[in-house]
This record gives sequence, structure tokens and C-alpha cells, in this order.
Amino acid sequence: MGGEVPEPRRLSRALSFGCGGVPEEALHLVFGYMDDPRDREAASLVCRLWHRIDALSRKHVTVGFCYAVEPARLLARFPRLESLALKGRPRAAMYGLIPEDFGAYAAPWVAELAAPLDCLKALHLRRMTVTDEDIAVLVRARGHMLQVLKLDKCSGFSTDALCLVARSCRSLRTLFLEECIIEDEGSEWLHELAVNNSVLVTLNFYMTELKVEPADLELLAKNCKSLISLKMGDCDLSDLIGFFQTSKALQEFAGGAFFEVGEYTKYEKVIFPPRLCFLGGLTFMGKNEMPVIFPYSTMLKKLDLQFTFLTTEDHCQLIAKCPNLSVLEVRNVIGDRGLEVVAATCKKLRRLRIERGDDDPGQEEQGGVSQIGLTAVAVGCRELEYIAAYVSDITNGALESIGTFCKNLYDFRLVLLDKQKKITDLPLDNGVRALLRNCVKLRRFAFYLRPGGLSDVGLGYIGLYSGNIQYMLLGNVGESDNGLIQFATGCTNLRKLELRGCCFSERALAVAVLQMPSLRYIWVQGYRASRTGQDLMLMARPYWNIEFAPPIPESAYRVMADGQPCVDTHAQVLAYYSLAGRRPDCPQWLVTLHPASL
Amino acid sequence: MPSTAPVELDFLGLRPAAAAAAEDDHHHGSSTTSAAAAASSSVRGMKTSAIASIGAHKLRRVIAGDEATKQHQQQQAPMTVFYGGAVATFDGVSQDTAEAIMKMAMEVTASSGGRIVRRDAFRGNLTKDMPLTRTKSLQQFLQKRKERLSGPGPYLPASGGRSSRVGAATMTFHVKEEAA
Repeated sequence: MGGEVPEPRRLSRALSFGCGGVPEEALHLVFGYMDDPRDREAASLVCRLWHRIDALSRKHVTVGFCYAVEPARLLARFPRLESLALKGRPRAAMYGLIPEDFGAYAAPWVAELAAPLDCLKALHLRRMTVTDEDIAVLVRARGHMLQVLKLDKCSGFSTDALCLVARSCRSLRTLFLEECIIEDEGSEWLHELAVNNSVLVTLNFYMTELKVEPADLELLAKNCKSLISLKMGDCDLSDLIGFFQTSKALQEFAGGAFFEVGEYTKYEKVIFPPRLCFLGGLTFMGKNEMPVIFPYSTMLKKLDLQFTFLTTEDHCQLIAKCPNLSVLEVRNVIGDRGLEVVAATCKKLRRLRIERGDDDPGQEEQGGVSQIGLTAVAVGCRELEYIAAYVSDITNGALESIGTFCKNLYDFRLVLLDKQKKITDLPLDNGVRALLRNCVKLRRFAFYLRPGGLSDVGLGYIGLYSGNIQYMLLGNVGESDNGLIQFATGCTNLRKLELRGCCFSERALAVAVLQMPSLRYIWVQGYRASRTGQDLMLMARPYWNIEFAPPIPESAYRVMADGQPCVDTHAQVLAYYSLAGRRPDCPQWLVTLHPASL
Repeated sequence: MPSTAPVELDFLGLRPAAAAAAEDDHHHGSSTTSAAAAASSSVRGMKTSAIASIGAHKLRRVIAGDEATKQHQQQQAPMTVFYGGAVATFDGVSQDTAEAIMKMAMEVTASSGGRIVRRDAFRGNLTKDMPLTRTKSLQQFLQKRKERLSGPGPYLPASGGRSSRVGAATMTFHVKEEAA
């Protein structure tokens, strides 16, 4: 819950504050300055009046898991929301580990909230199943007021629904569809958007497969002078010359592709808008096409090179020209040498993401990113707040360097790839201790190793020094149940935990859950599972849902949202606090565990 | 993936074992054969799922095997395979190789349902990445990249720039998606 009940003395003063001295309107104003949800929670516990004022003045709520509360209950508690964010499927869905029929349907939320929430202007759904009908209901109820619609990694709808949005939501400023799986019934939706909207600021259909007409983009740029950000799918960059000429205000662009490499003259004519400071996509950009962005390199603050064809040497050449980067996303083809260039050049870097490629041509012999590159970046880029890296090798020393130099680190994610046989320096117990002790601002932490990467002692350190970390993903850590229990004993603020590929028993998982006072959500895959999950019942308690996906025989066949087979064959456990009780829409393969079932 | 073993055996059967091992070590690229006979052959009546189950990598290996028998090659011709709404055209396929591919495909079809083979192939590919999977968008990009590196795509006419970037390798076939 968070927050302490005030002492009687302060309580008395608070009451008099409300009743005798200061009008209710003033309290409304004061509450308006309280943004942190936990502060809000604490304030709402003071007395009934404060509870009611919090309810009436709360403008935004994030529901961390859509099965944690019923729509009707949320409506009753916060009737004047302007902004609502909902999260659905477990994060593992991004990696193909959760079948499509898991659930996380938007329908109940839209049906119950779209009309009654009179003030709702912004809706953000993540990893949910959204149908055309859901969007139709939303548009009918809120179309005239909707300013922000974010469907983030959602699936289940088509461009027909987007047509409806485009025609009916004329106040829309943000349309965000990144990484959604959308049935493409044609590009009419973009034409409708261009014709009907004149206030759009952000349009994002990045990493969808939607095809659009360049002429519609030009029309959009002409009609929406406010367009600042466009992130789109692959479209030959030479077809966007007109759009770039028209969109004077554009600052962020991602997408586009170099389909005809070797014909630089075609792309020579590409001139980006003058205020451009974010570039991404640029699919298939290689050495010969890089000069297209050289004129803008000193102005770039964000650069996403995950989908390019650049070698390590190319990365070095390009990044050396970008001294003002604050966000950089690359694949590990950048190599340690590229990271040394980053360290020497990008002193303002705040976010660095190093994705995992696939035996890139042009990747140097030893390949990938290791402690050498990470140490260089830690020493050279001390403003870093977010590091996510897939590495081939790592040492305790590198983690210590990150702890020593990156004091502002808020989010750290490390995956140790399993391709390289010999890792320099395992286990990483002392390195992780140093990092966690020194990075006191850390809120999110992911550490995905291989067996032997972290001992029980190291796992205990993670718990002991977890500080204010609220989210963790841990993979292949620890040696025994004892390590997990030591870990859990230290985690006082952890709210969300994901575990993969560990050796723990169901009993240890249950004991660990009960030890972590702030935990409200846990997802586990790859543990010592029984056929029935019976020892998981040890974690049973009021308002705690336990859902168990038994181990699947190899012959079973389940499909994910995009039609690919689901690669998950390990047992999974999902357990979470819920005011809503058991899910009414559980798929057949998911077993809900509760005392009555014994 | 037990069901893929027969496929491998067929490849080995194309040439002596020792030569096969040596060939596999060096099949990073194969040069385009200058000979391009006008005649082309097409495969008809073949069950589509069997061909669909054969990964592009395996097909490239078949082509690479052709190198060993270059001095003995008979008439070389493009080979076009139609399956599942896609068209695959292979340059410089000898008649022996073409017959071996067809025989392999028929054997795979006969030994098990094509669907099972396809399913296992999918799972095999993805399972290799377990437990370290990539986000789907990055997987899609890497797949597209692989297709591009495999040869001229629907947007990419052959050009010197491609060769210089990809290195010495010049691919010998391309895949083109057709609207279903």
C-alpha cells in the first residue's frame, strides 16, 4: 500500500485543516501538485475527505495489469480520469512466450468506461487484444474528445478501425500504434487522417507492416502544421522527399528504407526537415547511404540504428560525428570499438540500448559487446540513466565501473548471450553487489545470465541491495532454493518480478512471494514445476490470484498473435494481486489455483 | 528435430562424405555461374508444404554442392519452384541437382505429413534462440536482412554496390513473394 498512517496529532491538524480553516477548493489545488501515485495513495488514507478529494482530482491512473481490478471499480473510485493506461499480457509476450489466447481483452474496459468517464482524453493500452468493435465503441463514446490514443504492441484490429478513428477523432494529437499487429485493409486510413485532422503532433505506426501512400503523408504534413514526430514502416526514402519538404516542424522521424542500395544518387536528394533531431528506422542503410544523414549528425539527439546494415567500422565513423546524442539504439555489431567511440564522443548520452544481432557481416572477428565496451561507456558517459545491453562477455570489474561512474542510472538491463563458451569472470556476485550499492537511483533491473553466472551469495546481494528497485527480471541466477529465499528476504520495495530459467522449487517460489511485502505481480518460467502446481498453493492469500500453465508436451501446438508457433514449452506461473477475483475469461490451458480446488 | 534428419541425409548423398564435409566448411558464398542456358524447368505437381519446409539455408547448401561437380556439369538452367504463393528461382542448377531436390522433397512428403515437417522446422528455428529470444520486430528485421543478403529481392536489381557491401559472396537465387 505504501505510506504510513499519520500520528494522531497530525491527523487532528489535518482534520481541522479540512473542516475549519481551509476550504475544500484549496485542498483540491494542493492535491493537484501531488503527482506520485504512492503519495496519492498515502494522502487518500488520511481521512474520508482526503479520500474523496483524491478521487475527484486524480487525472491519471495506470493499471499495471488489466486483471488486477474491474473496470466498474476503477470508475467508482476515480470518476474524473482524463488519462488511463492499461497493461495486458505479460512482458514475455514481446518475445513469443505467451500464446495469443491468453486474454487481456480491451473489450470490458472500453465497454464500461468509454461512456461514463466524461473527462477521458487519453487512452493507452499495452499488449492487449483490441478489436475493431472495441475501437468503434470507444470512438462512438469519446471520439469528439479523444486527444491521445496509444495502442502499444496490441493486436486484433484492422485498418478499418483506424479509418473510423481518422474520420471521427478530429482532436487527436497523438496516434501511437508502434509494434501493433494490424490487419492491413488498405491505406485509406492515412488519407482520412490527413483530410480530417489538423492538430496531429505525433503519428507512430513504427514496426507495423502497414503500407501507406507518400502522397497521403504529404497531405498530412500540409494540413497538420503541428506534426513533430512521424514514425512509420518501411517506405523507400526517396519517395518521402516531398513529405520532408512539406513538414517544416518535424523533429522526429523513424522508418523509411533504402531499398536500392548502390544507387546513392537517388538518395542524394533526400533532405530532412531543418529541426530534425531524432532519426531511426533507416532500414538497410549501409556505408554508401550513411552520408545522407551526415549533414544532420551534429544536431541529432536520438539515433536508432537497429535496422541498418552498418559494420562496426561504419558505426565508428557515424557516431564520431554525433556529439549531442542523448539516446542511442544499436545492435551488437557496433562492437567494443564502436562503444569506445561512443564513450569518447557522446558525453550527453542518457539512454543506450544494444540489441542482439545475428552474425552480422562486417562484425569484427571477436564480435559483439563485452566488458571492454561497457567499461568504456561507463567511464565516458556518466549521465547515463538507462542501459540495456546484450553482451558476449562480462566481468565483475565492468559492473563495478558502472556502479562507480553511472550514478544517475535508473534502469539497467543486461543479458549475457550464450554463444561464447568461456566467460572471463563468473560468477558475477561482487560486480552486481557493487553496481546495486552504488546506483542508488535504480528502479528497474534485469539480469539474465547463464547457469553459474550468479551464485546464491550473489542472489542474496541482489535482494539485500535492491533498494528502491520496483521491477526485476532475473534469468539463470542462483544455485538453490536457499538463494531465492535470501533474495526475497531483502526485497522490501519490489513490486513486480519476472524469473526465467532458474532451478527453484515451487515451495521456494511460494515462500519467496510471501517474504516480499510490496510484491504484487510475479511471472515465472523455467523452474522445477510439478504437473499440478500444488506447492504453489503455499502462497495463497486473500486477493492473490495464482495461474499455472502446466508444462506442455512437445507435440502440442499453439499459435501467437502473428501466426508464428509459440515456442514456450516450459511451465509458467503468473500470480498477482487482484481486487477482481478470478478471471472469467481464462483459456483452457491456464489453470487457476485456489483453495477450493484442493 | 528428428524429422529433419532425412533431409540432411539426402544432402550427404549428393557427394562423397569427405568432400561433403570440406564443402560445408567453405560454402559461405558461391559464385554465379556464367553459363545460363535458355531452357528452364519448372516443378509441377509437387506438394507445396514439403518445399515450404525446406529452409533457404538448406537450399543454398544444395547449390553450393554444385561447385564440387562443376567440371562435370551438364546443362545448367534456372530452376523455378512454386509453393505456398511464393516463387523461388535458382540460377545455374544442374539436372542432377534438380532431380535430387525433387527426390528429397518427395521423400519428405511421403515419410510424414508436410504440416508436421513445417511445424517442426518452425519450432526448431525458434527453439535455437531459446531462452534468449529477440523482440518480434528485430526478428522480422533479421529475417528481411537474411532474405536480402540471399540475393536480389523484389526491389533490388543486381548491382555492384550490393556485391561490394556483402563481400565476395554473390548469391545464386532469389525469392519473390506473390500475392496469394
